[in-house]
Amino acid sequence: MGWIIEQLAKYLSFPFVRYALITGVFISLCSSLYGVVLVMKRYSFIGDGLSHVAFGAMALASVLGILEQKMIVILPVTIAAAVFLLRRPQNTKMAGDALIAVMSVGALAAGYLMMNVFNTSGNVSGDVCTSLFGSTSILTLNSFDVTMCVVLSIIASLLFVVLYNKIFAVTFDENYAKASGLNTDACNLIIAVITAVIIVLGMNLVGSLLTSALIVFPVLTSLQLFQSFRSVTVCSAVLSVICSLCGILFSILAGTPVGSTIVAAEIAVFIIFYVAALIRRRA
Amino acid sequence: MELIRCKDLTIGYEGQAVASGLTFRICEGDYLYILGENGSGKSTLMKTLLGLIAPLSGELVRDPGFSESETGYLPQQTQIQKDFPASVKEVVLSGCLNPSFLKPFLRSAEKKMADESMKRMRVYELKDKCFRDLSGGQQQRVLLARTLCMKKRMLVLDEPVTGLDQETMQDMYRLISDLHKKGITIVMISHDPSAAEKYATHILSFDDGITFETADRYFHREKEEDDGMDH
Amino acid sequence: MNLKRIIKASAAALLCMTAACAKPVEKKESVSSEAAEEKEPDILDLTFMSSTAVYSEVLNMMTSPEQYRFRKMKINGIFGYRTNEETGKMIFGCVILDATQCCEQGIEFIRSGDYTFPDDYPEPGEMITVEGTFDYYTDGNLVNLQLKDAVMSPYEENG
Repeated sequence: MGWIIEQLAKYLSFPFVRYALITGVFISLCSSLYGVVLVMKRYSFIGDGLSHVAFGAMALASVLGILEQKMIVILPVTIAAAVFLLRRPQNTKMAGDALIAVMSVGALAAGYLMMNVFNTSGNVSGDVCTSLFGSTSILTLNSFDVTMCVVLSIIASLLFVVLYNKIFAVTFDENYAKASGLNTDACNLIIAVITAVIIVLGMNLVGSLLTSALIVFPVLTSLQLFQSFRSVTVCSAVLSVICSLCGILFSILAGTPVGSTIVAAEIAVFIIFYVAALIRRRA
Repeated sequence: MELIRCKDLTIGYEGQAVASGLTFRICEGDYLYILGENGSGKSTLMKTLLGLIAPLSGELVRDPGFSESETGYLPQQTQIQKDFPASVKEVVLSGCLNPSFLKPFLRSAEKKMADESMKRMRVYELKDKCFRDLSGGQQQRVLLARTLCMKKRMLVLDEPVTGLDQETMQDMYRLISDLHKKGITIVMISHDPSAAEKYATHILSFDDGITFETADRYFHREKEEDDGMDH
Repeated sequence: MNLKRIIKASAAALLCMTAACAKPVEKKESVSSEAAEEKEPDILDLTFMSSTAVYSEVLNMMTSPEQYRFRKMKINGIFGYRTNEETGKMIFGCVILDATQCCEQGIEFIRSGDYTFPDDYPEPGEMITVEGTFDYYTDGNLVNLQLKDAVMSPYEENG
């Protein structure tokens, strides 16, 4: 135990570790707050598609040589995709999930192709690996990324608090909310934009492919033991932050990829809660 | 006092008309039953009356003293609600929502109104229970409590007794009738004519063309047709 | 009710403190890169780190090498070498693999003193520890990392 503390103290003397922990806390906090909304609105599939679009945008940023400020490219592209997917009128020629699949896989393929053809760094598979799986993303953020992540997380979290009642209304019963005079179109637009933002933030923590796990797992876990919207949201936030912190610390101590370690922690917590719920039902 | 008047109204979605030539009026204290088969336009009419969709043509006039916020709505339940993690209290509180983005938080006065509403609908004891764990009848009462959180002059109900057993159904009708007796105008969509006979003052029927008449005349006519058929 | 408020307030305060931590650290970094030479001789010891952490820090060095310039550094890795085709000079490097062992980064090292290859160097693939002063040079788009005045020794097991 003492050895672990000693090792941690040594690690914490390095700025990249401190940045990773702080940024990780903020990203996991804001993404889990919106988790309930995304799961209830059945947006998890869309979230997965958006994370692939974000990867494609990152590839574009890499090819254009602006990897230092890649968020400037990734954010607008992902937000545009989110607004496009989530605000389409109901009856268009292409069915919803087919469109998402096309955009998602297309972005992934185009992104990978671009990175190979316009190879600007010496290590394409490494870059791809880390952006998809987040093996070291959170540990290799530059100061621009850190600032963007923390600021965006804070804004998203504050918006959640301020719009809490409206978000609940629009998610639980959109028709009723609209009939009550709420501008549901505006609310849905805000939710679409914030979804895109937290997907991009999540990419920095666990990689594109694992972002939906970051958003969905804490919610599914909390749903096992909690009954109200507020308690599920709070529990998701707490679990997400704890799993991210533990995941990051474990991966730097033990030498495992960060993204998968965080998700593994979330799976472990899910199993614990699931078993606890079973026991509670029997009792 | 006339609350809403429609003349030659055509309703539908995105240019596609679902029903046309609707001419009727809703007066304060009415109990209007909208009867018809699925797809005939009942829900579309309801959404048009609530301002959720715009009419395609024709006239829809509201009394100037009757604002949209005085209309309560009990929509059909969606699949989302069936597994949504929300306590009864949270659901009812969402009825006190202030649509303005500048007023994000609920004051204690609004919370008190929610408690009162829950007590009136006899669901106060369930306030911390999860909505999805309630029975069909209890859920409908909670949703009614949500609607009646703020004072309403008119209540629009979309198939409120679908999926309920007989006893709960009758319970629900009695509850709605009590509200009607307290002065709330009722507009109900249903395909159950038996309750219409007992409670309705007016019938708007989508069967065999659109007819609007008082309940007495409607059921008198129906009875004559039945007698005619027997002979 | 009171307890809930206390919990909410403490959580908010904790978050504010964490956010505040993120900012000043950045300022320290930019100051240190300018005053790197005046800084106390702090050896950046990466030998105790796991593969994830070392690989990440080396990637950071690749992307922002100015921040590490002239710092003393100690690192573990795998010995490798190649010959520069144009000059015929031998380049010795310390290779660091990432956690999944799919990617690698190399840091060149130049030993102080006279050493001849292959007698004074280990077999390629052997684990070594290198301590030296960090520097870098760019070759077109690529950044090459170097440890100058390096001292190479066989790999030491670090607890």
